[in-house]
Amino acid sequence: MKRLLFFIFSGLLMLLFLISIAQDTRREWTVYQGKFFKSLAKDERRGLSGGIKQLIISDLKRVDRCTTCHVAIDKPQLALAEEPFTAHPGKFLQWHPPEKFGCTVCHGGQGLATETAAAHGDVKHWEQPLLRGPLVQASCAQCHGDIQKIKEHVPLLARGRELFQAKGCYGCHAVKDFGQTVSQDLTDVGSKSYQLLEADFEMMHDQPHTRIHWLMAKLRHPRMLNPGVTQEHLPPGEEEVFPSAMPHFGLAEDEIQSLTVYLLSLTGSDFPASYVTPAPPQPAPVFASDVERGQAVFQKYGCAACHGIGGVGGRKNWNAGLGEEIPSLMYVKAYYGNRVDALKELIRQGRLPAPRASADRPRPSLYMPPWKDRISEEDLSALVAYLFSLSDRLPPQAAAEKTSASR
Amino acid sequence: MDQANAPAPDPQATPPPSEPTDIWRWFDERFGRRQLLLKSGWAFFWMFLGGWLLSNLRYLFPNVLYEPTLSFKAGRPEDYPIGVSEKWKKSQRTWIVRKEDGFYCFWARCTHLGCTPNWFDAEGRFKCPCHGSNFNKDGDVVAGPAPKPLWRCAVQMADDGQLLIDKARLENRPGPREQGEFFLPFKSA
Amino acid sequence: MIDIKAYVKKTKLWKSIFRHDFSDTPRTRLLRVFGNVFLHLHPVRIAKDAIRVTYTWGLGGISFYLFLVLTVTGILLMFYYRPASILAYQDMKDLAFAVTLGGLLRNMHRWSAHLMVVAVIFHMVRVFLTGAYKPPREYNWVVGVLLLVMTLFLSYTGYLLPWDQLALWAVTVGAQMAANSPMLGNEGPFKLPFITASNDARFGLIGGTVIGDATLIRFYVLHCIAVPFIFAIFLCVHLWRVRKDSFSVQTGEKVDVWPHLVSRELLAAMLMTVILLVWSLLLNAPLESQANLNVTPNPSKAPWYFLGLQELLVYFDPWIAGVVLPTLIVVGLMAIPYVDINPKGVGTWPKMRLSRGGWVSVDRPFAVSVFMLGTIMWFVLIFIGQYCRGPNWEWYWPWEQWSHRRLTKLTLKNIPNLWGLALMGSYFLAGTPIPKPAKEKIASIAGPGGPAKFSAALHFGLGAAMAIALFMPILIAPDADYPMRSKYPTLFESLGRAINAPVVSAMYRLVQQAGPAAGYAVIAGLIAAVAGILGTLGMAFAKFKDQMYEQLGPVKYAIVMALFLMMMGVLGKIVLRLLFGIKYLFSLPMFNFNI
Repeated sequence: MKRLLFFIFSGLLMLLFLISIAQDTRREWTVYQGKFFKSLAKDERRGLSGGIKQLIISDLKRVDRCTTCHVAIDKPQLALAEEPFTAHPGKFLQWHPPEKFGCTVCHGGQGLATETAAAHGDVKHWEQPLLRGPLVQASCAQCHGDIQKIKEHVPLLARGRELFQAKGCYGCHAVKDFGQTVSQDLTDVGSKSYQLLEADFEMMHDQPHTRIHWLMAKLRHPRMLNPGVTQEHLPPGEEEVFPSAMPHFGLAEDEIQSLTVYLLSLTGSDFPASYVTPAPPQPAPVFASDVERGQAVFQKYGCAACHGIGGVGGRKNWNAGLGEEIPSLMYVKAYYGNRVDALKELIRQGRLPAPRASADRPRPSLYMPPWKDRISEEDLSALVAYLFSLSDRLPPQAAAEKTSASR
Repeated sequence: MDQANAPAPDPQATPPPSEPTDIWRWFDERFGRRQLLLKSGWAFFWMFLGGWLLSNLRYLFPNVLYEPTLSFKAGRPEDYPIGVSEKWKKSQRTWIVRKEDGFYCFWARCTHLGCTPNWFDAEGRFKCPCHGSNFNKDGDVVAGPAPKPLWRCAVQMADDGQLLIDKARLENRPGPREQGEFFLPFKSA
Repeated sequence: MIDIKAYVKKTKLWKSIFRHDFSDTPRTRLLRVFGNVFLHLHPVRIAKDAIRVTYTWGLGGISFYLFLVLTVTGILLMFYYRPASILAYQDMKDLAFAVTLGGLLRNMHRWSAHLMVVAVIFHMVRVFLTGAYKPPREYNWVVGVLLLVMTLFLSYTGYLLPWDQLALWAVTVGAQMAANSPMLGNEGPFKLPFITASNDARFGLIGGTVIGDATLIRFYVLHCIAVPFIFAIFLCVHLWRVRKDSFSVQTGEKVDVWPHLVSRELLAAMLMTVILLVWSLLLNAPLESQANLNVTPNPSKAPWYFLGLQELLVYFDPWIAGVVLPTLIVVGLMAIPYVDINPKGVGTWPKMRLSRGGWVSVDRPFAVSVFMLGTIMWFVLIFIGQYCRGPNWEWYWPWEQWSHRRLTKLTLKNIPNLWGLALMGSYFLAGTPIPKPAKEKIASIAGPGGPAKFSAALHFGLGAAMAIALFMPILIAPDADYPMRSKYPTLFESLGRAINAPVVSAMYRLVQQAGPAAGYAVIAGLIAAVAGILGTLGMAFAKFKDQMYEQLGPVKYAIVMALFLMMMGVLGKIVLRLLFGIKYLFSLPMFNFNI
């Protein structure tokens, strides 16, 4: 009996040992490298060795092993058509030599890994997923301060930045201390941990649970990710929870993609000066009139996010006075035409918190923030001029009615 | 120190002997105690060992720390909206809370076992993921095993108009935590 | 043809190393054990019944073998692991992806650590059940408990080394318990005057005020050198004592240790290795994202063998659940051989019989039942912590999906202090025996039936006191436990609306439907029922209590009864919390004293 057990255990140990050696020697990357070397002619193979390849980029504190499988990425003469044996497109490797940059600083993913899924960041606990396709443009902003200069290579990034400005996102969100603090700070939204993002993956049923998809879902339908909780579903004594106050901008898919690229480019990266090309100083713009200048101010500080483009108003603000909506600015002249100082003071100080429609529901999520110390006095006067000009777009009857009503 | 042949002469009168072998006997007689040397030898031994172990224990407590300083400037009060700001949660482990009449600052450490809670604006609560302690906006425990409210740090106005937070001074008792150095009055417009 | 083997064996070189031949004679068998430094702790001949696998299941030997596996795999891992916060995580990734057999070695190290904890606990249970701790082996049991504590500490220090989120937060929780120690902890009760956050027990443990590089190097040294060294010393004492106190079984004819015992040891080691290899090949040891002090995973769980304690943290203050209770468990375990005066049951597994109360040991009913109850409770708490706790440590049934959006339900409430004191007082009083002199005195006053009536009055009275102290407070307003804006007038209402107090909320629903009279009737009924059950239990064990008192004497009886009642008290508190929504029975927040 003992001899039998001894035989079985020894046999199993032998077998398991062989299995572990086999498992260890035949890894994913050995298969890929084997395939690649087979495809080469004898003289092409000279000078090439097998094994794990790594690029150690001390300045960026990274170690990238992508070239273990992507063997021909910098050898176009040996490259094949099928992945992972393709060569890097364009001249990017000339401009960004791999020994100085590595791979993951642009493409994301997990550089230390030597297995496909892990290396591409498609595993749990790795929060920098691979930036596939045009999304890679997000990484350029980490070093390139002057996006305009490289615009032909980063169309989505440039467009995303424009959209961020145009839609008025700065009205609620701050990026590196520019913008407002009504909502989340987006300074490092591209690299923050998922938990700090409060990424609500539970509401994303059929999509991968990554930063990329979460940002896209948020831009597409903000309230889908944060629908709030109404009274019926709350335990007793708890206040209701309003849905997300972020407006539904009705963005098209390409706009969503551009904005996502821009948001992904907002990382907390702090690279050495030898890598970074800072943004050039912007010349001060020249305006034909005060109204034009005021319009530029209106756009720059993101007023349109709440007040709508052209100040039409109408965005939902739960439990806010004035009909649970953000007020329109078209009637500003009617109300403040003869009280310019009062209007300026309102813009400077804001109205915080916004007055409630009902006292026993929570306070409204959106409010007029203070712009003192952010908008200079000249810009403020120009802004007021612009706001007054909005009433010119109203039909004359309505303007007159409002003027008489305000008396 | 042979106990077998122990004479008992007069201890005072005997002078120090010239031969070395009698010196022990002289010791015994002079100081009146046998085995004095042995006893005091052991006493020194234990004192040495005990002292050595205690000093090793002291060795294990570092005198210098490689940790960041406890006070920091938190920007201008005007830049803070009413509510809980997470701006300094990551770098300084604090939340800055602005009420309509002023500022206070929480140390983001659960009073149960030291984990970092998270602020859920949608629910108006700080929730600790380790054992489920929930704190309301005042820092009071509304659910879970935390025994005490969240600690508040001292807040004051620095000379350059920024908020100055000092995590070395803490208070969490209701009453004292809403006054003095732990609450900075600041009127919003 | 020269026989090389025979020739070599005759050389001086060979004979200087191997002093005996390898034939199978009685003399050689003797020399193999006697003359070998690694084996000479074994006797040369051993009783046949002592080597029966089904007696010890080889658990002690398995624990030792796993320690050896851990040492070897640990030393190998040390060649690639650097204990600095900027390097540790990267080295873990390297082991997984870039080092030959790195993943396998790491897996083996992790899984054998877990297996060793299981093995030492099972070994302890085996030793207890076979009475192998009874005199003259008491001190070896104490050494064994020390080895258990060191095993857990080794596991704890090793847990930090991967420097991932799992590691960081598990250690944070443990370090906070050090801060909650009585006297030496900055946040514990009875704090000594010179203790601050910069010199308390937690500071000494983690080498600073926050967990960082100082902690990592400290735990590395503890894990790799300091504790293994002390462990090895105590292990020598432990193994030496097994031999010196003679093994607990000495029956049956004697057989040679070589080959009979040694072969079994080898087979056990091979089997363990097979299991470890299979486990390590199939399942990877976990590695989460890099340690980040700003992000606390939700939920943050300790390793499974500490989950029992982490679950206990829900019901008790940190210094009680984290310091006092574990200390009591360890001290209680150590005390077992000194309070167990029953000489029966050594060297055999307990014979069981089916009685009214369930399966009971014939020779050692109390000892076996109480120990197994404690062991089972420990594992049930681990099960709850592992499978029934989700984000925010909320209760989730094992099949329920975890959701981070779930809102925590209404808070739990305390019983007002005086009622809580009454409840606990009558509970502990229920443990008093009625000693013989007292019985005689009562009989002389009240006649021969007197003692029985007195016992009934005592037990039912205490049962009623407990029942009343439990149910009456829910009819009155809760006490002002640190500022919670209670919108409800009575405990009953506030607990009744809460979904996490099933019994009280069921009663509440009944009252809503059927009116207050029904509610009072239910409460009265419950008081009567609980009083009756507790009283009957007390009566049933009264005779046993008195007997135990006679045998053990006051000191040992007090120790045994106190520990037993505290263990049952923990169980009772868990039930009160989960079913009734009662948070604390006695609460003095100013002094950090909540029970």
